[in-house]
Amino acid sequence: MNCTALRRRLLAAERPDRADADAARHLTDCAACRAWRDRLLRVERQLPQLPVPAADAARLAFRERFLGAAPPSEPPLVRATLPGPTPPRERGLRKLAVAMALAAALLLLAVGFALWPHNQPADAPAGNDAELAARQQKRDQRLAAARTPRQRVEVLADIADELRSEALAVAPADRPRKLRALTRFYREVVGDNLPAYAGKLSGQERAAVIEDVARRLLEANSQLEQAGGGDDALHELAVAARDGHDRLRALLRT
Amino acid sequence: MTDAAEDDLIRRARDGDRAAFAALVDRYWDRLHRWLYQLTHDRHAAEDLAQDAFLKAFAHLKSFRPVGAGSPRPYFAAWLFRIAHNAYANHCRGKARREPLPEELAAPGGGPEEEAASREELRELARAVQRLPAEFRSALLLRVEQDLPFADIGAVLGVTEETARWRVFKARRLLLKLLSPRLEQGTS
Repeated sequence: MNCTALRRRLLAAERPDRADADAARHLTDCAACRAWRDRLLRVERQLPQLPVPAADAARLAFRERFLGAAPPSEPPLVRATLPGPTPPRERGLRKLAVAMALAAALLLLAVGFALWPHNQPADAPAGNDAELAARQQKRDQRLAAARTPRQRVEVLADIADELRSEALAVAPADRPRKLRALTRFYREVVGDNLPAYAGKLSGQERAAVIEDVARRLLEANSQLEQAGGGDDALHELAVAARDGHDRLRALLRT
Repeated sequence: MTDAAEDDLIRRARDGDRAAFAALVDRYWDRLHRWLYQLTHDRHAAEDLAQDAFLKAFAHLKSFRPVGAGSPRPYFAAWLFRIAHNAYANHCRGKARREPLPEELAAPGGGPEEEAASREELRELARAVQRLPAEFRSALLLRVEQDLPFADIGAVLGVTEETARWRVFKARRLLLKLLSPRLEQGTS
């Protein structure tokens, strides 16, 4: 393989950093092509660092509008033609039918009320969703206030620590009920948000910040495991912390 | 987020669950906005186009079929970027507004001199990227920043896999040519 063929091959490759055997042989022997390949890889490494204005506020605003907007309502049904006048006998029958329907509805309502469980748990699923949405909103506001990628990662790590403390403060008897929304949000923060934002860190701070946050998650994992004993709710949180730790560590290997 | 978790969000969003779709917005907003900004160099246009793409995606989610030709995963990403690309194409028919590069560059670390040099390098790279023809630029950024395989880039841009590969090839070659004095300086 000559220099031109090698360069064409690398320019057309999905991953120019992964040369096949032929290309690797040529690169071993040719210093000029090695330098050329290094220049190409340097440019590709720099592309993701190109500055882009922060758009968190726009995302937040869009999210709020999107979640606040009611789904499009069905168009009202319109009769093609107006009904003609109803004969008196039919009018009487219709009134009777309406009265009977009303009585039946009242009866159903009374039976339903009597049978309805009046001691609902405080955190029904709908309550959980609202609580999750509120937590997400607070997180987004804190992220929007952070100015640098490093600060955003630190905000998320702080939120993770706060959630862990909150979980540990819940009385064991209340955990299964109270930790549902908290666990969902914790998984989102440590499993999705933290790796996503940590992936944007660059330069020397990347390794240091990721190491620090991964260490905090590992500590959280062991603390939650120890505190949990056989408690499923705390065990789930511990698993999420471990998962987040593993994802962050994987970033250091890429 | 695992693949299964994303599939679940898509399924729920398809059934009208707006919170599930909002989670997809959180997941893809930065990537989509970044790409659109690199294409438009207009922060407001990039934000508007991203919103437009997400709204269209939500409205047409029922037509999304998780079948892709390239890598095993980025089907939803490719589908979303395809919608955004159509929105961008419509936008281009209107106008092409330019905005100076933001002052707040990513701090590369190191001392003030290194930082200034690196900042200048990024500015130069940004200028070179802007000089690439739009169809080369969009393909290159999908490959390098979004890590989409050529087959998916083709799907996003509405061209064949080979055309996508050719555009990335041309973009890389042109970029190296535009940057050659700086790169040679950097490696000498």
